[in-house]
This record gives sequence, C-alpha cells and structure tokens, in this order.
Amino acid sequence: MSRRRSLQPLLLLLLLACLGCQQHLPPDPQRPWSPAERAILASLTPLPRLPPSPGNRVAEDPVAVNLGQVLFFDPGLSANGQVACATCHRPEKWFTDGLPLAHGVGQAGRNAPTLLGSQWLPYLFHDGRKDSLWAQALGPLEADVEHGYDRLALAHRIAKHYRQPYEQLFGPLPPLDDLTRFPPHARPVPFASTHPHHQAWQAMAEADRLAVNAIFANAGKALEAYERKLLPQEAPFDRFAQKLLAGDPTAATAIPLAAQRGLRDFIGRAQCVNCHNGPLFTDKGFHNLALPPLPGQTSLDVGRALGAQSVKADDFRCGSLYSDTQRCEELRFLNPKFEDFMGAFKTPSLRNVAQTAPYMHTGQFATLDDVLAFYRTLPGNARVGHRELVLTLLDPEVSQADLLAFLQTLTGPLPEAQWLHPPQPIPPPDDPRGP
Amino acid sequence: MFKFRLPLATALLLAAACTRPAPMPALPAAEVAAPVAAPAPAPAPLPAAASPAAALPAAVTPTITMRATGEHFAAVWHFTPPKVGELFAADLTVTDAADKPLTAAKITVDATMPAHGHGMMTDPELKQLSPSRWRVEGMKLHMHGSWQFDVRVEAGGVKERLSALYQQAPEAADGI
Repeated sequence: MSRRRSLQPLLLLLLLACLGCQQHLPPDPQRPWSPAERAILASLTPLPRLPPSPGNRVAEDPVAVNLGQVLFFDPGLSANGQVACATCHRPEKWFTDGLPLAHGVGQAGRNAPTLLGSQWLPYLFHDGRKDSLWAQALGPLEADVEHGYDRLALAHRIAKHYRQPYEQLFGPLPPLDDLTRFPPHARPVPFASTHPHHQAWQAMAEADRLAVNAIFANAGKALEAYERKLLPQEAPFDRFAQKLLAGDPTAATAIPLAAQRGLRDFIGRAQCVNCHNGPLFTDKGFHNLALPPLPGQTSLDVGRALGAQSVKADDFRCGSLYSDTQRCEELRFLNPKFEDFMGAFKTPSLRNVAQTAPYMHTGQFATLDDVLAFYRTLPGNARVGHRELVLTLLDPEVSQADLLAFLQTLTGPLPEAQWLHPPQPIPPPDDPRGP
Repeated sequence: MFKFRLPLATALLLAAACTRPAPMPALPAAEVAAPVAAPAPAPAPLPAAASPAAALPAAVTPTITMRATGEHFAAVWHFTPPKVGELFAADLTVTDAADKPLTAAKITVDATMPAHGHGMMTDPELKQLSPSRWRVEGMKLHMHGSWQFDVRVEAGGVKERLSALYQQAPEAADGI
C-alpha cells in the first residue's frame, strides 16, 4: 500500500506531462508555425499543374475546346430543348446550381458538384462511377431526369450543326441521314427492354451502334477539352501560405487573423486535413459520414459500393474501345470490394467551398455552419454501412468563426471570362419532345 | 484535507491512452518506424515512429527500407516514399527468420491505418520475381499519418503475419 501511494505523484506527473504533450497548442497567430505545420501547409499549395488526360487525345486541341464549350451551353442536347450542362453547372455559381438536388428535365437524386478542380479526380460523380471527365459527361446526357437525351439524337445534332469541327477532330461521320440505319432517337436503356429508345437501339446493326458510341464518346472528349479550362484559381490562402513558407513578413496580413487561427485548427486539432488534404483539399477518396438524409428521402444509397462496381464495367472506362489509352493503373488496382465503400461518397474539394452551397451529395446542409455543426455532434447512425472510425467529434474548443473565416480564404476568382459563356451563338433545338 | 487518490489501474489506462500518436505528424519528411514482427493472430503493440530518413539532405529522395522479423519469417520492404494519394510499387523480400530463401511461400500484403480503422482503397498485385522476391504494385496511401504494412506469409505449413509501421508524410501527389 505504501509503495502504491508513493507511486501516485509520479503517475500523476506522468499523466499530466503526457496530456500536455499530446494536446495541440491553442491557435495563437503570434506563435511561429512549427515544422510539422509548415510541412502540411506546403502540401496544400500551390495549385498543381493540370494533369494530362491520356484517354482523350483531343484534350488539348483548341478546336475541341471550342466545340466542347458550345456543347456545354447547348440546351438542344436535351429531351425538351431546355437543359444544357450549364443549367446545373452555372458559371456564375462556380459551376454549381445552388440547389440541394440538381434539376434538369426532372429532379435528379444528387447534388450538382462544381467542375472547378474536377480535372484532378480519378473518379467522377459522388459515387465515382466514371473514371474520366469525358466519360462522366456522357452520363447526364442520357439520364432521364437530367438531359433526358439519347446518343442518336446527339449524333444527328452534331451532323447537322457541328459537322465541320467534329470531322476536323475525329474524321468523317457515318451516313447519319440514312434513318433506316440511324434512327432519330435510340440508346441502350438499362433495365427497360421495352423502352422505345432501347428497342430502336437493339434494332441497329452492331457496327452502326459502335459508330454511334464513338460519336457519343467524342462529344464527351470535346466537353472535357473545354472543362479542362475550368480550373480553380489562386486564393488568398495560397498567397498567405506561400508568403509564410518563403519567410515573407507580409504573410501576417495576407488573410485575417481569424482565418489564420482557423487554418491552424483545420490542419491541427480539428483534423479536417486528414481527408481534405493536398492542394485540392480532397483525398479523392470515398467515406461514409453517416449523413442524415434529406427530409422525406427514404431510399437507401450505397454510394461508392455500387460506383466502384459500375466503373469497372463501364462501356466508356479507361482502356475501353473508345478510350485513347490502355494504361489504366487507377482502374486496375481499384478494389471494388473495399468494405468501407458501403454508403461512402467522394470527399469534395474545398476550393471555392464558400461559393458552392448547399453541401454533401444530396445538399443536406444549406450552409457551412450546418456542416460544421454536423461534425460537432455526428448525430444518428449510418443507414447503409457504418460511419468511418476516422471521423471523431470536432473539438468543441475549435472556433466556428475561425474555421469559417479560413474556409472563406479558399475562394479564388472564377476562371477567365472567355470560358463563362457560349463562344458563339447556339443553334436552336432540333426536335424537342417536350418535358 | 484534500487527498487525491487515483486508482493505479485508471492512471495506467489514462497514461496508455494518451500515448497514442497525435493526429499531426511529428516530422515533415518521410519517416520509417522501427519495424516489428507480429506473430499471428494477435499483433504485438507497435512502437512509435523513428526517422532515419529525416536526417537525409532535402534534395535526396530517400529510399525506404523496412524490415519486419517474426518468429518464423522476415520481410523487407523497399520503396521510394510515395506522395499522399499516389499509386506506388514496392519490392518485397520474404525469407525465413535467418534470412534464408523460402520455397513455395504464399504471401499476401495489405496496408492499414490502425488509428483510423481502415485500409487502402486499392487492391495491390503481387508479381513473384524469385522464390523470395516479389514486386508489389498498386499500393496507395490516401492519407498522411501512420500506416501498418502487413505481409501474411504461409510456408512449410506455418502462417505468420509480419507488420511494420510507415509514417506517410503530408506531401500530396501532383495530379493523378
């Protein structure tokens, strides 16, 4: 007993010393940034150079950029002649729509993400079911609730209005005016074998179907060439961090003190940087946060668990007939059975995050305040899968105002003005079929 | 008079709990833990990270060598430190505990973050180069922090897991 009592002060001292060394220091802007903090700052800036898109041989071609830009703003590429890519990816809203769920021909099931920064993502859509920007662009075009369009209508529209740039880029179009071979409307419709578009598609010769698939893919490649101009721009955070790392004393005034405190917390005790890492502030991975559903939403969404299966089987994936590369390392090593993919969704970039409300894959949270409030309490359990263990309650001592001030410093200007509108007049819709 | 009585077990528990690694890395450069062997099924506790690589000049890209020695087998990892989120490959040598080559060994590899309870999002492929050497392709560490590299070895009717800790630095991959 006396031995145990004599140990107690020692243990207490050890405990206190230990607790002290494990706590993150309070975010005092006057305190010099530690080597560990500097290393993390250096990993967050500058913006990286644009990666190549090996699956798209016209990715850098100015003719493709121009064609893609016209297509992006063309509402003729929709069932009702009213929905363009730019309908949900509005340039003035940092290429989002401000709505919880995207709204095209009908109501989509997920939020429209920004396009700025998407060029670095190995997987597109919230569930990552596409592995390139050009393949991604094809999804909404044929989704019933988005453009509601079909690849035959697209091929005819390209032949009618965009033949010159298309053939300059991709070679001659097939004889699309032969409507017996190339009906006005047709596409494969999964799980709907009686759909007239599906039946028209099945009635086509296989070689003609492949030729139309190639036109469809090429339209996606032109869209990607344009989207590669929609890059996030340098933000106040970049100027602050680069000055700080260079030893420039004017760093201290580059962003508000509250933002500097918020940044320390972001990379420190708030642990945001665990997943929001790198210069895009995303690990490009997928996580289950056990988010609450939108009010009234009852369907269960397995997210990445299905997305990872889909991308491995996608007709337009890397290495497919329509891809310009056979080097597909990302897809090759993707583990579709990764258990934490169940109910997981992609970590979004935080570049320009203050401009891209509402938040999460179905826009569950209207404001960044709401997002941070969620991280403070982590209410409820996952409806599918389980909440990832890495996610712990946001430290109550972290100032909401400081974190918000920091997130504001990630807003850069919009891309150059020439990319924010159609480059030339858009031809009228050809054959709107009504909503 | 106030008497603070901290039960011994509680104190030890708290002291142990607070020694878990802090979420931020202690050092900016790639770090290598002193690797340990963990006989299956129960892994031994892993020690804190040490950093031989941190002493190298900044301009030199260090190559990581991590050894894990178990009761029956030993594994040596050899790779260039990857950036966060970057696919990378590693050379792996697996021998018996006395460094003698194995015959007909079956191995699998994995990397997990013990503090986060998750592994990699990729499914690495193994190419056997010789009875004791493998090329591991398709590894990807998508977060900075402490990763545990595991090699599960089966040879001569004996199974063993060899674990080594690797501290991933925060430097991010440039592009895909």
